[in-house]
Amino acid sequence: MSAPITITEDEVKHLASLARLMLTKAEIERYTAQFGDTLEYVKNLSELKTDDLAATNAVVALHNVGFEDGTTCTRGLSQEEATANAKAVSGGAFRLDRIMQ
Amino acid sequence: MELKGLSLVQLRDAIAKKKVSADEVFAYFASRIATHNKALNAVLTAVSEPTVQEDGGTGAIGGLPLVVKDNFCTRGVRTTASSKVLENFIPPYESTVTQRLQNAGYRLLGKTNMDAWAHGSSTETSDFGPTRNPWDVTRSPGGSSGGTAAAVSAYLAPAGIGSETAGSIRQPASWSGIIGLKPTYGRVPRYGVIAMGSSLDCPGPMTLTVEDAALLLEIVAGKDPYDATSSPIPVGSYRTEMKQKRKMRIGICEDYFQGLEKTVQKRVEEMVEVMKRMGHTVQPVKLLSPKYSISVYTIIQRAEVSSNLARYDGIRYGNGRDTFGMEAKRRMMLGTYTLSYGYYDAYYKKAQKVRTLIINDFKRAFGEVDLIVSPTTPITALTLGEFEKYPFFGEVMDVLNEPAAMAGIPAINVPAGLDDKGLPVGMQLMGTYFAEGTLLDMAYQLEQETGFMGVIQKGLENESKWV
Repeated sequence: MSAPITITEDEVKHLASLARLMLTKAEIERYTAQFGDTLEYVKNLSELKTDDLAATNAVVALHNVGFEDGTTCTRGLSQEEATANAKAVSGGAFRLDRIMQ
Repeated sequence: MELKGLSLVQLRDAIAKKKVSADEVFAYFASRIATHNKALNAVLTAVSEPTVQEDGGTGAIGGLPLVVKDNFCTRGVRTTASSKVLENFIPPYESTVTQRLQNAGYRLLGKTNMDAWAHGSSTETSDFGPTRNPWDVTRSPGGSSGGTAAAVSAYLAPAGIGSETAGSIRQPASWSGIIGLKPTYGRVPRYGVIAMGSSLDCPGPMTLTVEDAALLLEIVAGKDPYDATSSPIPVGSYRTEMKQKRKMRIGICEDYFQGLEKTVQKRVEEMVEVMKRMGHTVQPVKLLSPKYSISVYTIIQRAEVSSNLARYDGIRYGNGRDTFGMEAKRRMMLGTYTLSYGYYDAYYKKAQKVRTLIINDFKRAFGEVDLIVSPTTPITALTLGEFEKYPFFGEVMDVLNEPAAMAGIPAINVPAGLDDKGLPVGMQLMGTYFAEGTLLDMAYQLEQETGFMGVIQKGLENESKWV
């Protein structure tokens, strides 16, 4: 990774699509320029040897944390509570735009 | 009775001795918010009437008001994470932290301003305007818990709750001249906290005294069956541990003293001299350069952010994704990039392996010393607007905080004096996993010995600056 990292506008558009974000043309241009700077900086990790190391997913090494059988759920939401902040509710369910014909 | 400057413990005693009622205390702070919040913009949602407490105010903080950072879901009270996406969001449930505070009798005074989604170190990425530093209103109080820091420093509340992913409690505490404690990851449950980086987020207290921080930590810490990452390790009595007066081995790593403002370095070095005079041993300790933590943090945090913010669909709650601010979009996209096909190994996996290096490094160092001390930030509070010059401002600003955050170890900021502009300088103590008692012990000793160089007392005299 020695050549300066550049990211193209097409890649930025692709990322925006993956991240479900709608960007303006000006935003695409700005982000394209800025990403290069950030990616350049993080290159410094290649200075560290990590071949023998395992990746850390969680700093607190807990395993198989579960709920005991028979535990009562005390934090459920009613249908009304769960839909209280939605823009469109129909018959107690979230209503959204049709996605299939 | 004159309430200004009283700690939580002192207010509780005053209420218990009937010198003042809980309602009068609430009204006092509500009135200060009504008077001063316009100039500071610390509080986004003020609660005007105290909620009735079922325990009649006899809990550990019975009847005492607190401000809470606006990324904690408070049932029935608007919670926005300072983003337009959640501008009208009323949580139908309570975060574990605020539920435990409720069980202890607290009263919510207000939800405080923050960097939107906690993305920042200056509270300037808030969609509702920046918060101003009570020490100099042309400056930032730090971030992302800037609203809580400013509110506590300005005594709009006697204490508050913040959260930290990498510096977001310690740095604003440093810039605003108060105490901020980042507990061990997993010590305080994240249920009900609007997630930023799920392997990093730590709720914690921001206070004017060490004892108040110990008190709040005792209340909110402990396993939560609804947060699988919360630790089952029993919660000690932090207020007892705080008074142990242990003599400690203090580690100083020279890499943490590079690139500092001159007076920041001076103030911290003076505090270290105090520790030597108190009989603690000060010795050099080698650590991995903090600059690597910037890279690890930038990659891991943004990756987790891209995942966590994917849930905001504007359908089940909140406004659409077009209402995200610029910083949020930037972070989501970089996070998506580092997780995407072809880049995952080079970035995300590599960052996770360096994270292991950082953890092992600290474990080794804590075999040699009890605490590691350094400045909290290389500089003091910046003027508003400076942050826009950097593409990843937050991460660069928090260079000295990120190693502890990556490792998940606890750390506390204490004021160490003022710089040549009269702005607070902060010093941090870092400890090993679940060593909050050790941190509080040293912080309490320093508080008793130095009064933190009078910084907190001086902070209470800032009122004339808020126009």
